[in-house]
Amino acid sequence: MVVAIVISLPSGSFKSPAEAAEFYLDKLEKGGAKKTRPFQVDLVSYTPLIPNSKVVHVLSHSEYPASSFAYAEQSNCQMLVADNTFIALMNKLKTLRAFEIRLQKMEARGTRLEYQDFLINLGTVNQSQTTKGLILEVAYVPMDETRDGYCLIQEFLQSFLNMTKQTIQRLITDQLSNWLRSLKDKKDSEYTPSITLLQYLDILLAMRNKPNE
Amino acid sequence: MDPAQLLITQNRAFPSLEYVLQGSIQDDSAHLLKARLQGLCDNITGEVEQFDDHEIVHTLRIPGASNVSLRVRYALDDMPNPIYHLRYVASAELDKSQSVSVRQFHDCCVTKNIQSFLQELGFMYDHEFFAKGDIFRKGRMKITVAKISTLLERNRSDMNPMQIRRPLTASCFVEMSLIGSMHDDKVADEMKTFAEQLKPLISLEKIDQKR
Repeated sequence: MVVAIVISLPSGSFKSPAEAAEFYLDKLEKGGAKKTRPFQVDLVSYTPLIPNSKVVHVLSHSEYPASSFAYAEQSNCQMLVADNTFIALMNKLKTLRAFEIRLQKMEARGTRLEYQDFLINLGTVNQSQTTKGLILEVAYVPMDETRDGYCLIQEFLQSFLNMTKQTIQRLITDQLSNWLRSLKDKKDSEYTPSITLLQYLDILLAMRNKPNE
Repeated sequence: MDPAQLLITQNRAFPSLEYVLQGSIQDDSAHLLKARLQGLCDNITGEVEQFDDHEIVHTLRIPGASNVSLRVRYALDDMPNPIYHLRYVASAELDKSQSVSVRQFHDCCVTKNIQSFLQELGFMYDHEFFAKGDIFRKGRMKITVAKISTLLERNRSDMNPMQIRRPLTASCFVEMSLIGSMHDDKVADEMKTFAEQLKPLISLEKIDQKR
């Protein structure tokens, strides 16, 4: 199991998000990270056609190719982890007119880099040919424990990308901060990949609502 | 496309068909059927594979269209952390020329929170039952002989394996199924010939929607 932080990188100072991506990629490679393969995270949202139902977001991550992650908006339940045949099931529900795809699909595509024990996924977020922003996921592979993993990843971001602690704290999503806060009372804080996907969901949803630049 | 992306898109549209024949046999004669099946089917270890499952059906009412049912199934033997299976089966296609029932289905493995997830989506609890019995395999075919039972009282928690069960009928439910793709004509004949071999004990037929 890994511990990962997903943040959306500010790209305002660059001419375009693609250029910002190039810049960060360069920085990481100069620091010693090695490119391995492309990565992709998809988000498909199903809006319900019946009353009393909720919007369902289905995500898939190329790091976990055999799984799909589903989340019902405004619900108390955690993310549902299923086989990737789950999306076929949702499509079936779509044919049966229980759900429909009204909102556009969001995709985050980029490169996956490895630096010793860290896994870095850097990509641009696209919504049907328009680039919406940059996303960065840093995961520390050997560890399961959230608090320690989070501190380690913070140090990594500080040294590699010159980010201050305050910047990082500002950039991490609500989901992650809520999760970290809830851990204060619990003894075991095991991190699961569904939390990574929850962070992705937060960022992708925010980017979807943001107007095009 | 790299392998990960390929995997993601490959499973998007995968209509699988299930060929089904169903029947029932009285409890007293069930052991005869099992003995015959044990002789006819693939039998590697000599021991018959048993199963003990709990299946809960959730239904969604779509205004203007028929209801959708999703089945959540898990094995009681797997407790305390069973793997949950989510299954969607369409109603069987009405095809008089085919000797077996054909229906589309989608199968998925999910985590424990599937029940609350389905409730959030608007699915309501419909009914549930337990199926306990044996599985026999012959080539691509799977034959299950199971005793269906229900709870005497509905218990909300899913962690209690010692529920009191009441059998639904005095007979066992037998189902022969095969998963195949479309236009697989030989499948139907294969199933029918095998069903003939079980003829005097049990007659396996297509699913009759009216009953």
